[in-house]
Amino acid sequence: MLKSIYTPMSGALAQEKVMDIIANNLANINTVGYKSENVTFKVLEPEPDKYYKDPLPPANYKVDFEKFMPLKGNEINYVEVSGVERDVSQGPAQKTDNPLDLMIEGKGYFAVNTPDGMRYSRDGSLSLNQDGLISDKFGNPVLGEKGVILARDGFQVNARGEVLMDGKITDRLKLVTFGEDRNLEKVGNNHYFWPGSEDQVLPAGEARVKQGFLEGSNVNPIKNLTSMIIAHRSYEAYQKSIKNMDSMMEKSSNLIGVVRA
Amino acid sequence: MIRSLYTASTGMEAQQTNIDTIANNLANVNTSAFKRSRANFHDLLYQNIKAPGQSSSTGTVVPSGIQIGSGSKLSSVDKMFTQGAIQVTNNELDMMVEGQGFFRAQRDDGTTLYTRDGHFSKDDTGRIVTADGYPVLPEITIPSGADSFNVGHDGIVTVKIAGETQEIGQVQVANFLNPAGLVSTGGNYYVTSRASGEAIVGVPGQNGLGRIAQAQLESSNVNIVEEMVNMITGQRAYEINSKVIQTGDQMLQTTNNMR
Repeated sequence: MLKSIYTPMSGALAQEKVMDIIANNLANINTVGYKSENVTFKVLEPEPDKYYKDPLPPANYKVDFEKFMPLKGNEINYVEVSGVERDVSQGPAQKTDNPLDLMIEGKGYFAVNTPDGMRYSRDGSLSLNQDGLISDKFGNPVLGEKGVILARDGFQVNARGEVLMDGKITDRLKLVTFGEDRNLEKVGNNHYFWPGSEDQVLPAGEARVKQGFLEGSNVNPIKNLTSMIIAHRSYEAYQKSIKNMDSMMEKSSNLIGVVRA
Repeated sequence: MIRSLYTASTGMEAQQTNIDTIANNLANVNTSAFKRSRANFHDLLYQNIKAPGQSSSTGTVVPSGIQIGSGSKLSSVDKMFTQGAIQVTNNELDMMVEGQGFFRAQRDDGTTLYTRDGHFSKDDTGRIVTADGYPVLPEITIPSGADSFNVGHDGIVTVKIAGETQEIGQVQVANFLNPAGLVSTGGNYYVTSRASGEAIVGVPGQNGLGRIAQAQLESSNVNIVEEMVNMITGQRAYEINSKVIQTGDQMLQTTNNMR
């Protein structure tokens, strides 16, 4: 059997994952605060002598140890998705004039208190819930430095994130950053989960808040469609080479062994 | 492979609702006191294939994990209670709330309705009623033979009877902790829900409530240009997601043609 048939297979499987990531990016092209994702690949290095025995050299083959290294078992490379990297660049500002829409400029996340624990979000399309608390679209309160923020229609938020009611500062939005924000896990609902410890959650120094704006999704459709075409065509190419190897194997099994009269 | 087909279909579904919302906004571009809606989206659950920060087989720490998302979903369709433009009608029974607050009216089954639409009229008994004939709360009846109907900024209604000015009632307005939580029932009316909180009824112009402006109507707060732009982005996002489905389909076809 041709072992190399597994190399294009690993490539095709990796391209499938790329398609999944691109599909998710494009499905979220209008999701507020969504951050685009990119796939990175890695080569799985061959590991000679580890699991495979050296193949037997042909009968008439004379190994010249001065000149050549002996043949090794597994000389084939495989490709694998090594990681999905998040592009944390700022999304485009969308002016909405709605006082309940906030946008974070710069690094920072809102802190949202959900029934499942603390979650972090870049989605600033907020609401007031039935208790008059500033909350996200699911009714989870968005926290300030003093805890939940009680507000009324007509509240204002300044660039520092301070919440003003009737001209008086009542609280300040809790904006946080993380040492390594690529370690944040996406959990859906525009929320992120921080798997690290509490003391790695730092106050956001440089973040500024803009009221009446939303941060659009930073998915670039051109980039994603181009990557989609590339993923599609490489997938096709991998399939072609699998097909070629299949016909090679067909030849060796059906033609070489043919006995003709 | 199959996943990207479904992921893209969630994107198409979300954009479809987006366009439906925009269509309703544009259809109501001339409805007085109409408040535009906006569809909001969120991303769906992620499948964790490899968590970031996990140690790899070679002993190093994985710098970025593999999380594959499963698309987007509609999270809410919000009413935007921003003030609409003022339309001077010179009809003395027309009223408008300048600022926050809703007029109250009573439906026949006793339910209190809330509306921003101050296009009022008189019924056969002289009561002030909404365009659909529901009495405005608190009920104000204009006596026969009265003229110079006047409503002050504070909602006090005065008329002149036989040359003498008389106060016949006061229009009240109601506000909510969360007006976006009101339920639209059609006919420009809203009813309360658990999310909106209880109505806070008060005198116009006090405690943050808006003032009453007579002979004016509030027009729709739909901005055509904004809706058009949203429609364009919505349509293109829909198209892009359909392209993903097409590509996924073609890739499946390639696989099927391998043998």
